[in-house]
Amino acid sequence: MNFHSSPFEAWPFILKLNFVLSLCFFCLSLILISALYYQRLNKNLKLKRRKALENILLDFINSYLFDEDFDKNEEVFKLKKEHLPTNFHLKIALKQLLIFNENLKGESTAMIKNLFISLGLYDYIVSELKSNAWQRKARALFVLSQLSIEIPEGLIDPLINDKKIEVRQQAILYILNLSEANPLGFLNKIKSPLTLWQQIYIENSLKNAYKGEIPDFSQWLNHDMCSVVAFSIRMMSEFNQFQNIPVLMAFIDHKEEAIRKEAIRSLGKMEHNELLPILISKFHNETQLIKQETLKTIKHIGTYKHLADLGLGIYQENNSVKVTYYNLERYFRSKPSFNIDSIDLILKSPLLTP
Amino acid sequence: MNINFHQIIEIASWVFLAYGLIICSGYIFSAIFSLIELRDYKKKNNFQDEIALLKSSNLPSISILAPAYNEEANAVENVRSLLTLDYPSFEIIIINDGSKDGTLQKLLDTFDMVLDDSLYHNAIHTEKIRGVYISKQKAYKNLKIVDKENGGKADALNAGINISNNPKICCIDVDCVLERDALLKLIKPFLDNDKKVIASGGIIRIANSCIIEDGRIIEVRLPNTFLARAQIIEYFRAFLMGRMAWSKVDGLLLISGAFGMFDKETVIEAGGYNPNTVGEDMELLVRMRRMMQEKKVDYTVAFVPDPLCWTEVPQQWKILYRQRNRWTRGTIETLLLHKKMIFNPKYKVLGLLSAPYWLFFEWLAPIIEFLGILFFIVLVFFGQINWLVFLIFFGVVYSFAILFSFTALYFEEISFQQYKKSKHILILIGTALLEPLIYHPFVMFAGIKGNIDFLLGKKSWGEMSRTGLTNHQPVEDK
Repeated sequence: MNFHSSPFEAWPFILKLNFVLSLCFFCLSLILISALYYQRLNKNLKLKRRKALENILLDFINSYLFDEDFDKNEEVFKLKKEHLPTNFHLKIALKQLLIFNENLKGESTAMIKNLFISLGLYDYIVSELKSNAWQRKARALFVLSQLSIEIPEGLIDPLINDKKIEVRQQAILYILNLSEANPLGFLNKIKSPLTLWQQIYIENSLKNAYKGEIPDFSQWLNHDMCSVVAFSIRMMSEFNQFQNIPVLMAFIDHKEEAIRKEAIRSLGKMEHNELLPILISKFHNETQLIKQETLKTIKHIGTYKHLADLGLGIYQENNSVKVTYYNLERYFRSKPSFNIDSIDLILKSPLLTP
Repeated sequence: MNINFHQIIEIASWVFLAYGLIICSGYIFSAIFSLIELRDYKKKNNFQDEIALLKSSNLPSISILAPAYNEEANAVENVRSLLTLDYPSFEIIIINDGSKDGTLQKLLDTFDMVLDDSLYHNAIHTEKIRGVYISKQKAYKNLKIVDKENGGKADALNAGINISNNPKICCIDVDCVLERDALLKLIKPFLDNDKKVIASGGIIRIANSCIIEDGRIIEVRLPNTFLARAQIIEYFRAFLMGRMAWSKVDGLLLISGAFGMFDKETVIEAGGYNPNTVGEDMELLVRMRRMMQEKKVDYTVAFVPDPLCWTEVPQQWKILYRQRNRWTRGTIETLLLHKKMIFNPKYKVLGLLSAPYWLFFEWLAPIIEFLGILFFIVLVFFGQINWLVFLIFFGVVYSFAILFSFTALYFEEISFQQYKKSKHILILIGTALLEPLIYHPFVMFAGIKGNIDFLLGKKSWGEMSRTGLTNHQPVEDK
């Protein structure tokens, strides 16, 4: 087979195919390199434009906020016309406003809100909120929540149950940040479980952003979703809702292990001593998770006596529980307040540990 | 005879072509899936600052497990770096795996450690633990040092799992440099998922030549050597394209041993790391996934593409050779241990896609490539080579190889762009052009030798030496 001198048409198909593929791959490689450089140049260019606009905005916002001679209406009109022609520019303006908002308090934040509206950013954000792209909705919610800009409830409510977890999360944060009296009202409307991540976010917002009165979490103890119930139980101890201890006690018998664990942890955190005798009486019939939680609670609010009340049945437990028990025994014995003579005979028996 | 020989040539040509086409299609699909996954990840994480969450007391506690073997030179610095990670609740467990140098003593002296007499449950069998140490100083209260008899990395990690107190374990190489928010980013998938997450892994970045101060990457630089740069291209392909794509279809079979987080309960239930394989990281994940599939539990494995972990790669050919030899043996061992999964529809994506992929394109690829080269030599020997045909075949393979590398470079550019200078791109393009000619044949050869060593029953890890991330001078191979 000598193809050196034969024309391309005479080559076997496999050879032609490979030749064409080689050319395609080389061309694609060249295109990719060009795209790569274009991307880099474009990024650098955008960065340059961004920096220039950021400087303009920085001066503008400073003057808007702090210069009394600044002709606000006139300058806003000029800025919009000359410097904010596209969505790219609007996004940069939004970012700058968010930075200012984060670093300022009081009257200035109200002025930032005014500027947000005067620059036409409200309409832009609402249009983003109505778009089909989930990331645009999520980002819009994030901005609205950061700047505490109110929008009609009708726009937010459907987003609480959006199919994208990020949108749901931002909708929840929006409600939390803007609410003045009922920050967790959305819990009655949600149809999908709260992830642990969302729960941490909510807790963080309640502790650091929300200024109103913390709601009574017992209202969600009968919620359809376990995640909401577990979250409410946890928050009761986080916000010291001691008045809910009696109702919480019922949850240490809940059929869901996760909820039982949360109830024990919460009651333990609130140092409810009456909990221990009940936990000890149920100990040997409980799951491994609950047994470990019980031992932790004994360490936290109990005494050596409580530990000893678990009795000889501890020998029948699995090694993991036994090891926790033995370590706890050592812990109590090492405490300066420990007095072996003051407790009954059972406790005078040798240590269970080898 | 002559006709038969030609027929053999033709059949072999078609077989190699078909194999090549299947590989190419696989790579094209992986590029597409990776692009989608990367884009989604960027969309999800580009506007929100999650640092505020670090104040939360409800983030699950994490145990960082770092086995150390003869790490006297860097162990203290590395521990100091780990101690400064941003996370509300974590413990660091350094497992001294019977080091022959002064690793243990140096750690004990520096951090003022004393023997801890607490009891631990050996949920997983390990070599004998000589002692567990805790610090007398409050500043190091979250540090534990385990001293044990040598049993290998898997055994050391198992010991760490037994000692750990937290529900999530993060297994790392002690000499890795972690980003400050690495733990928060890696735990997020566990908490923000409707399914049970059993493991999450991150991208491993190459730290050779980077400027590091106090255990932090201050400036990302391109390595000085071709060998390390070739590995950058290779890691881009493996992580930004390969693993991102597998993550998209929930078919990940490997979370790098250098940096991965696991649900401790699931790890223990699966039996912990297997000390009888040199590919313990892959084997554990495959076993965990297999167990979950068999139990019919809805679960997933997450992958975080952010650059969270930086490590040093071999800068000497012989060290690279040992590493790749070991990786090959680890792959073979894992695939043989779990051969039941291959083409088994019961295991869904894992059985029908991931495991066959690893069989044909990770294990068998160097063998088939090597046979191709042998076939070429036979043709030359019998004077059957047509150089135009050869050039065209070579051209298609080479052009596809560089196209794939350029795609990986492009993905890096549109995602994380760690190499900021335009000069860096140029150097990486040059490396990508040379890599199929110099680096790849060597790695293939190491893979072949790995297969031979596997057949000969070789089980050892092979000593790895590192230059040290704080000292860029080469050291003698240990």
